Amino acid sequence: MKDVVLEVKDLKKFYSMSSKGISFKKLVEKNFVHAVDGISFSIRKGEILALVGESGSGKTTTGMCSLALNPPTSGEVLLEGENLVELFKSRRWREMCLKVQMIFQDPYSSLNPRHKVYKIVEEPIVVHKLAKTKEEKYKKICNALEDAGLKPAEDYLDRYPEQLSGGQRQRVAIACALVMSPLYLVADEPSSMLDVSIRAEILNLLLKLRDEHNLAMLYITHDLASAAYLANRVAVMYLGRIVEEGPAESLFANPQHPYTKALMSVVPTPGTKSKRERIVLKGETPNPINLPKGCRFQPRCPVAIPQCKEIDPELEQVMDGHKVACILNNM
Amino acid sequence: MKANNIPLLQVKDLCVEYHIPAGVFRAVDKLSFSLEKGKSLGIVGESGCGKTTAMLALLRLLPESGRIVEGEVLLEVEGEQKDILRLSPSELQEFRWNKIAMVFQGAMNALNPVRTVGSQIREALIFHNSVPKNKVEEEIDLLLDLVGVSPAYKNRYPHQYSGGMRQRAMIAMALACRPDVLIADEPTTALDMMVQAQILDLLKKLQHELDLAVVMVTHDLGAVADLCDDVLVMYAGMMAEMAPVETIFEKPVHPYTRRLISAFPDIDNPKADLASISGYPPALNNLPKGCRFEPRCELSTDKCILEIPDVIEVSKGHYCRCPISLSDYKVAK
Repeated sequence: MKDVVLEVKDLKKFYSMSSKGISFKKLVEKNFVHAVDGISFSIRKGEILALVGESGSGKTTTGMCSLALNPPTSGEVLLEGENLVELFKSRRWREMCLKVQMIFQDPYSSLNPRHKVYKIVEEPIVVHKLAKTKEEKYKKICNALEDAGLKPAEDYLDRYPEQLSGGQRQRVAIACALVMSPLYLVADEPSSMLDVSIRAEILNLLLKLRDEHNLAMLYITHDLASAAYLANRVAVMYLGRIVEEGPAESLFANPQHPYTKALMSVVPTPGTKSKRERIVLKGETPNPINLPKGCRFQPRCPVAIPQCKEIDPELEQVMDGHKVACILNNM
Repeated sequence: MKANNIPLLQVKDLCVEYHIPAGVFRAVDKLSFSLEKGKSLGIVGESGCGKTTAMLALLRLLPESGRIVEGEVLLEVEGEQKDILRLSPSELQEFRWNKIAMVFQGAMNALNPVRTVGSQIREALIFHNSVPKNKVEEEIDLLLDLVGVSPAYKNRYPHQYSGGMRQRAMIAMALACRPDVLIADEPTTALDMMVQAQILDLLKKLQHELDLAVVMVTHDLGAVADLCDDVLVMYAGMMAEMAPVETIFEKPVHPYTRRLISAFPDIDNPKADLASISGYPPALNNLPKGCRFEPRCELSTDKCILEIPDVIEVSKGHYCRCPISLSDYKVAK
C-alpha cells in the first residue's frame, strides 16, 4: 500500500511475572502478563488511528512498542518499511528518533519543572544537532511553539512550566514533539487530564497538525466521543487484542462487536434527548495473566453463547475495511 | 414526612474566601441553591471555579486559610431549619456524617493505605454510635453489599481493590450513618468509562432506595445528564445558571453554559465542530468588576464590564445570571 507510514505486524508484548527475569523453566505462558497479544495495524500519512479501550487493555503498551520505546516480545514494527526495533539497536537510532515522537498523558509531570520553556523545547534540537546557528535554533523553537498554538512564542520562552496552565503545558509538550518534524506521532490520552473547555482546544490542535504536517498519528484514549471526533479509523482493544477495527464513521454508526456496543452505550452524552439503552458490563477487565478460555470477552459478554468458550475468534472482515473478532458475526 | 415545604438542604448566599500570603481569594461568591429529599443536584464547572470549596464549606471542613464570610447552610431537622454554619463544634459533630456525608475526590488516595477497608468503615460506625456494638460487623457487611462489593473483601487493603471498588468503598463509608444528604465530589473522574457507568448506576440506585439527596460535583456534563434532576453551572465562584437537567441541555441560556455544552464531544454527532472557550477563567484575587465571564464572552456589552448581572428567573426553576442572553432567548423563542 502506498503512503503507509507505520505498519505493525503481529505485535506481542509479555511481561514476565518473576522478578529475576525469564527463566527457561518458567516459559510456560501462564506466568506472563499478556499485555499485548498479537495485534496488527497500519497507519497512513495524514491519518489518525484511535486506539480505544479500558485501562489494562494494552493501549499504552501498544503505543510504546510501536515506538520501540518498549521493545516488543515478538512481531514487527515497520516505519516506512524499515524495522524500527532493529533500527533502534543500530547506529542509525538518531534517524529513528527524528521520525517518531510521543505526547504523554500528564503535562504536569512530563515537563522538567526546573527548565524554562525555551530550554525544554531546545533540548531535542541540541541533542540531534538540528540547528547550525543560534538564530536558526531560536527560529525553530518559536515556530514549533506557534505551531502548537502558543502565540506569540516570545511571551512563553522565559516561563517555567509551573507558570503555565494545563492546556499550555500540553502545548509545550506538543511543541517538543513538533520541533523534530516527525512522520509518526503517538498521543497517549493527551487531553484526559485537562478541563472540558481546554480539551476541545487540544483536540482541534491535533486535527490541525495532522492536516498541516501530514502526520500519521496514533491517538490512544478511553474516551470514545473524542475518538469519534478526531479519528479516521478506530481500533477497539480488549485484553491485549483488537476486537474491532474500522473506519470511524462505519464503526460508530454500526458497531459489530458486543464490547464496542457496550462501550458506546455508556459514553456520556451532553443531553437527555438521545437516551440509548445502556449496556453496563459487570465487573472489570480480568487480569491478563490467566486469560479466559475461548473468546477473551466471553465472561463479561451479554450475548455469549456456549461456543464462545471454545473458539478464540480471529479478526474478520465484515464490511469494507471493517473487521470484527466475534463468532456471532459469522452465524 | 415533612409538614411544610422546607427543603432538606438550603444554601443561601454562601461566600468563601481563602486568606493566604498571596492575597485574598474569593473562591465562592453568593452561591444559593436548595435540594429536596430524594433529589439530586449536579454542580458543574471548570477546575478552580469553587465547586469543591463550596462543598467543603457545607460540612465546615475548609482548611485553616478558608473562611466562610457570609451565608447560611440550612438543614431540615424534624421540621426545623438549622444553620450548620452556626452550630457549636459538638453539635456539628452530630450533624456531620449522620445527616450529611461526603465522598471525597480521588478514591485512589482518600482511603488509608495501611488499614483494611472494613476497619475504616468500622471506625465511622463506632465513632458515631450509629449501631449497637454487637451489630457493627453485620452493618459493615450490609453496607458493602449495598454498594456492590462482596463482604468477603472486608479484610482487604485498599491496594487490593480496583479503582471502581475503592470508589464503592468510599460510598459505603459515607453511607455508614445513613445520612439524608450525600455529597459526591468528582465520583467518576479518573475511572474507566465502564466503571464510571457502574458508579453512576449505583448512585442512582442508592438515591431511589434510600431516598437520598445527592449533590454531585463534577466537570463532566455527561455524568450530570445521566444522574441529576437539577444542574447548577458555576463559573469563577458564582452561579452562572441553574435549571432542571432537560432545560440545561435543551434550552441553555447563559453563554458559558452554551459554550460548555458545545465543547463536549458528542458520539451521536461526532464530526460536529467542537467549540473551545478561548482564554482562561479570571484569577480569583483579581476578579473583574463586572460579569466574570465577560472577558471570554462573545456577546458582552459595555454594561457587562461595569456591573455583575443579577440573577434572573427565565422560567420556573430556571435561573440565569446574564441579562443579554435573556433578551436573546426571548427573540429566539
